Amino acid sequence: MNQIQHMKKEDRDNLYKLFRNYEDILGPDPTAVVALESFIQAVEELKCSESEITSLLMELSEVIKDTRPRIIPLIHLTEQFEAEISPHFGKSLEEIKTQAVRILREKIAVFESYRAKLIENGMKYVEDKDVIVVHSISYAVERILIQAHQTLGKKFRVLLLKQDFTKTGRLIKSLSNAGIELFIIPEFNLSQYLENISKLFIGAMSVTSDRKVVAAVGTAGIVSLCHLNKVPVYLFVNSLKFSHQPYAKQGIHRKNEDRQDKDLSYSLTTCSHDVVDLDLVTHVITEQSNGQSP
Amino acid sequence: MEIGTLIHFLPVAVFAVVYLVISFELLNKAVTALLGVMVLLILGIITEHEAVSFIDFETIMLLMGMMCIVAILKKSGFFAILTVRVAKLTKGNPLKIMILFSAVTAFISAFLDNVTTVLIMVPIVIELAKGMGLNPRIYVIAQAVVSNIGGTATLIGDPPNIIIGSKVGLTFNEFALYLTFPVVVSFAAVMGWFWLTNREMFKPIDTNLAKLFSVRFLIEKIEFDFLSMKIDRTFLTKSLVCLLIAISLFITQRVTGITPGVVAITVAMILLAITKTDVEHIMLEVEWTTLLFFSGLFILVGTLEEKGFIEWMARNIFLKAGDNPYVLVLLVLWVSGIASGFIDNIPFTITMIPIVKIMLEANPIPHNILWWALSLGACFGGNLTLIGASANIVSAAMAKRNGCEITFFEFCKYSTMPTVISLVISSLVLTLYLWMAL
Repeated sequence: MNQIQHMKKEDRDNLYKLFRNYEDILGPDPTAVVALESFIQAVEELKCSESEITSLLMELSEVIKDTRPRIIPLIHLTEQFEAEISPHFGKSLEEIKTQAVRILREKIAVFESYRAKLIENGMKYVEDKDVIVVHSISYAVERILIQAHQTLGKKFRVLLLKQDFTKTGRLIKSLSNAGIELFIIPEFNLSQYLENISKLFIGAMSVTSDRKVVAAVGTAGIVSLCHLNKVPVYLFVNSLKFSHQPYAKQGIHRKNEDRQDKDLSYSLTTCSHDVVDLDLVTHVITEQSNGQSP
Repeated sequence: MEIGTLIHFLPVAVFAVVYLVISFELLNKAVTALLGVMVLLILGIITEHEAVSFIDFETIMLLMGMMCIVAILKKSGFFAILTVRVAKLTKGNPLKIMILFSAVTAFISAFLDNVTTVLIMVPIVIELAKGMGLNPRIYVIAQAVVSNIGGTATLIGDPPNIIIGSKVGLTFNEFALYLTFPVVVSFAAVMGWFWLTNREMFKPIDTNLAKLFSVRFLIEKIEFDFLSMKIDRTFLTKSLVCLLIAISLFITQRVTGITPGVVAITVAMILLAITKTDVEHIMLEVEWTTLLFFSGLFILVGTLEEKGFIEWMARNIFLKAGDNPYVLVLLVLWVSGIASGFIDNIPFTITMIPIVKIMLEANPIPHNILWWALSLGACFGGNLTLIGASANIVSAAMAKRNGCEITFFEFCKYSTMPTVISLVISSLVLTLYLWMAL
């Protein structure tokens, strides 16, 4: 029998860094799907005894639920997985593995159906002649814009706020490939265009129990600016992104690094995400709702 | 001391100072070598025309041509495809990561330069090792070591071979015929040594669900990064076809009579023309400092040769070892191996070529075995220490950038035994070649 080796702190930190990298480039939704797919592959390749599988599955669930920052849809789906797999503990190894894979596949399907419904719902908020500001990568916002243009034939323009190239580059590629009229400006120049824009579309990592939105860095400033200038802010999130925990428990990652720029040495602290007050958001659109005020 | 005697020793003094400055990395290598040349020119020890005549343009052409070909290949996305495929093939097995990546690194190094190879392979190896919670150091050091081993197999794999091939007139096929065997055996033995001494690290992770998850997640990310890259298939096909044509022309050198330098430049120019690549951009990728360094060294060594110092060194140091061919071959192999561990193997090889020529005049050894001894010693010896080869320094620098510093002694801890193993294997193979030839 193999002795179970628990994941070391260093290995966990590396994994969470990988989660952040993924989330930064792809957004939280695809990250959650890839994580569940990786979970399935890991279970399929696992070689262990019947007595070990329960603790191995639970250990991995714990690791996934503890990412920094927390990926809320992934946590909800993992909790559902834990609840559904536990009645099978005590069965044969192969049976537990088969059931684990089946349940995880179902969770992916559930998540994808939520995403699809949100996109369908979200398309209603795109209107002809709109000038929509898009800030950071959000699977939902990206798909809503593309499908509104391609399926509904909506004629609108997108004012894309450029951050660093890896983040914005993918969005530029997908929106322009879809034939959407695109204007790209640096995010700090938005104040020059406020008179011309009709709405701001944002996605989020999570919406917390104390009415905060955890979103990509830079979102807070853009939302505040739009709110002050009465530009409606639309938040697109599926209900799996609503957390039972307050903002303080979202595990926002803070990175401290020593920097040397020219003749200056200093320590720079960077947070992985922004926090936005939900009251600044004009409409929250989920897979069920119809854009009610938050 | 008379002025005449002083002038006689000036080239030696200049050469010694240049060697010291290069060894201790006090100044840029190209600048040091060219400053040495300028001193010789200003003092009137050589003329400009003599200086230019000492440069081996065949070597310079081969290096420049291959640098252009590699730069275009990098742009084609070929290496990205290769590394992603290999990463997927490993399925996150620590031993497979070591063996598959090392085999690919060694193979690519046989055809492209070692620094380019480690620049491509090391980042992905570090990412995989770190993602699995393994110490990436041993993987990084292994890539540097096998890159130097693999580069020894062909005429174009490592600068010492390019110089030997060009200055002595040895063909691509002769290098492959005599050096592939010791290279393959050394590679296998070195892999075996890494496995034997680090068995714990190479245990499969398929009993650890969290690690399996991390690796799967990581491989998905690597694949995603790759899928986001735009690969121009026509560009890629053109690049690969041209590389194959270049290798075919190297192999058929005896039939076509076209030297490797001419082949490399011709193929590079054809590639630039048919891919319509931005020439200015590709020229920025060419390592001009390396080419200037080579030119400067050719002039410095050429001067020593002309002034008779090389002959004096050959007769008073190497030929003192006697005339037993076995002793001479092993002497060249081990002296080259040990020296290349501490000093740059490029100036060492350029210096040794005229010495070996004189040794061969005094004691003709068949089948170019003395040249193979120099090649194996200079290339394998680079693995002895961190500063022995450019690939080692670049690998360590990349590891540091990725948060895993490799010290001089840490590198030596994992590289010294592989060097000794490969030099012992070379000794046995060369002895066998000699025994068969005599």
